[in-house]
Amino acid sequence: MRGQKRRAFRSTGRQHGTRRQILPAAVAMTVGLMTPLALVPPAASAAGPDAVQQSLNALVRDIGTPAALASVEDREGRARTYTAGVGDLTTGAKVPRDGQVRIGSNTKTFVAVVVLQLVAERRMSLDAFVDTYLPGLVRGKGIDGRRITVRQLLQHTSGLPEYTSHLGDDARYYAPRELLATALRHPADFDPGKSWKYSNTNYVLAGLIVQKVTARPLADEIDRRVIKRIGLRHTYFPAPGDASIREPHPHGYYQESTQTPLRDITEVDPSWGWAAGQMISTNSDLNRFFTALLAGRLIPPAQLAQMRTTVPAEATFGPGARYGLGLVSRPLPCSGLSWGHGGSFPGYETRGGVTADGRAANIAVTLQLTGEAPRRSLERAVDNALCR
Amino acid sequence: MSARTRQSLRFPARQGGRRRRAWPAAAAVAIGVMTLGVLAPPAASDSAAPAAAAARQDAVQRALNTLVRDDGMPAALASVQDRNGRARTYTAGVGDLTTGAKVPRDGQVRIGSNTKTFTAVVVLQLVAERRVSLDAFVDTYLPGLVRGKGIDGGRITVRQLLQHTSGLPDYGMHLDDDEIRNRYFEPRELLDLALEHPATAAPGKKWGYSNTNYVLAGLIVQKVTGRPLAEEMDRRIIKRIGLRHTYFPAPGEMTIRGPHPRGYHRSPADGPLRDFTEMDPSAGWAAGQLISTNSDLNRFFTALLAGRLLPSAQLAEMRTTVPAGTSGLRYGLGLTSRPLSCGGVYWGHGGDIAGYETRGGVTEGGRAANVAVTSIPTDEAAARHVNDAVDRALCG
Repeated sequence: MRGQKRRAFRSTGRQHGTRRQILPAAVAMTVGLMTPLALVPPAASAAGPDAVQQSLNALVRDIGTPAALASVEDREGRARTYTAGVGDLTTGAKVPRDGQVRIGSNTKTFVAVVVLQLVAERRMSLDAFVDTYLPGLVRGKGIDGRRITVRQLLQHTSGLPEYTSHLGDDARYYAPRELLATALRHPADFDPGKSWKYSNTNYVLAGLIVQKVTARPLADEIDRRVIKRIGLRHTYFPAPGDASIREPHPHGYYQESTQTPLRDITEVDPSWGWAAGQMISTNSDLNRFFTALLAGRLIPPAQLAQMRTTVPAEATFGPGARYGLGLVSRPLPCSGLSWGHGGSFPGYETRGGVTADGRAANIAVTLQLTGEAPRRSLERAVDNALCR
Repeated sequence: MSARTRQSLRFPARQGGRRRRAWPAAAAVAIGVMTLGVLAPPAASDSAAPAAAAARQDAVQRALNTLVRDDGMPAALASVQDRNGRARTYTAGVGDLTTGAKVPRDGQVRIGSNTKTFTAVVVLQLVAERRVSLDAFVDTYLPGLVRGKGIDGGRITVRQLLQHTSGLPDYGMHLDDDEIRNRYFEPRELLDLALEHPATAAPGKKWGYSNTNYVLAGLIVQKVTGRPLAEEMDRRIIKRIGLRHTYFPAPGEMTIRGPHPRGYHRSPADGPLRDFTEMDPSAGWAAGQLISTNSDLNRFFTALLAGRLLPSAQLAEMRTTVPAGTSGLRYGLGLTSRPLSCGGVYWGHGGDIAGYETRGGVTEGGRAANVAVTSIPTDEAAARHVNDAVDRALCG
């Protein structure tokens, strides 16, 4: 669900998929046919193709994604949206402007915000152990919920093993507790607090804690405390069993390996992501969300400071990247940092962030990226949008 | 969430509730005001109806009036279907004690444990598809999940779950109404609650109603199908036979979607009636979360017993019953049979969930009736009168 090899849904596919992706001939032809459309300047842009548009065009051309979409907001809050490529490889339909995408691990930031709101309300403590809220639930080889803190969950320093690498290949419905049970069949990666390693299990547990503390479904809490509160009109947590995307959206594609054709994976049960990656949103809504968060409109300064206290996370998020509590910082080539998260989900890859002075950019491509090079290309496109 | 007086999810409330209830003054006034409305003939009544049917209709209406007037039910609703499929609906009482609003005809109610029949039907469809075996152990589908004092999923069969002969403790006995009301439970939390307690009997040794059995059946459905239970019920039953007013509330959904009488509950059992219409039904899940109407329940049980939901072999399994307490009630697989005063039995289930009690079913001859009251009766007489109303409707 974010950012690295072997954390995908189809672990076998991901293991083989770290090489540069090449489009199969049939798909390449479709994309070729649609190229003139992709080069039409965006309606929101008065002048010809600008730097962001050129970045998107390059992503479609170079990393094999059927479509790329961006939303860029300047420090006065003026937003521009961009599209390139095709929204549907079968029909050649155009890319819906600011269409909905599966935002994968950006969901973690939403969950972290809810946890930190509960911390601000003194209903939870970052330094309390998991067992305070879920007594006896988290036990396994080298795993003990009495020794793992809430902070370690949000920070990925718990040592809890990853569950997504142990799920089957079927896109079935998983209940949250099944995801946890899958993780607990495997030994801890390290003792709590001793190292950093990205694990989706951490956020499934954070979600279960939110449910226990609030006595409400996680989706309801996210909706009430974040989505409704700052008016993210195109953002939602799909209900159990909902495999569709509600509003206009580009189709999402998946490639098992470089030898196999792109497969339409738009309709898929996202329940295996849950608190670690189930949500659907748009680039513009993600900009609004991260802007509101960093501007202190979602959590008090003390909790925002905790969220922005980071540890090195280059292994997963690339050179210079650091991880706070559900928040990633990355150095910008034009100096300063961008704050965001990013997400990788079958069908969609998203990257973005906001700067200290209020610029925001988010870019989505409609192919889950499996290699380092295409991911870095996507991140560079975000950097370029933020550094214009 | 059950078919019988003592089997409610709210076990403690029912235990303490043997005395005759007195109405709080305000409620009594509201009902007094509405008495004229209550006694008006039901809109569905047809002046051309044959005399026998008219007499039966009166008997049903009288039974509902008794539930409101003598037993303190805020409202009572019924739907009765003759063997030719002609349906009549009845109402008595008020739909809202605060406003005095009338009872929506065939309004939606929480059907509690009738949900178990839906869950059992899905399991038996999977048996017919050879994806589940009634005599397989729970561990076949949920390995290692069911362990506790005297509890071993390697020794409990799917049939024992559906039949309530697993000996699994009932989580419902360990929850109180106010705790349930606003609390969202993951299904697995319900199982955890049960597994904190010892088995009540060795598997297969004893009949004992336990909501835990159906939570496990629901988890098995999800494991085998790879889909949410609610989706399987919707696709395999609700859509298939066109139950347009029946649905499994989504997680967190606390309201009732269609027109409905408000549901009231005494918690504690000797306390005043409180409006419990809005509540989180997740403590019920596969054992009691559904919302429906009397008419949809008639359609459901009629279709089920007519073999339109299951092949005959699986329906026969469902109808193979064991004694379930006194009063002649017998339990099959998510299906009860109860003797009728006019001879024979009717097949159904019934359900209790804070705010609503439903009873009903179908006869071998194809008559169907379902009765709902908008408060769980807290004394024996009232509980008996709900069953009497069903008997009246099926025997008239």
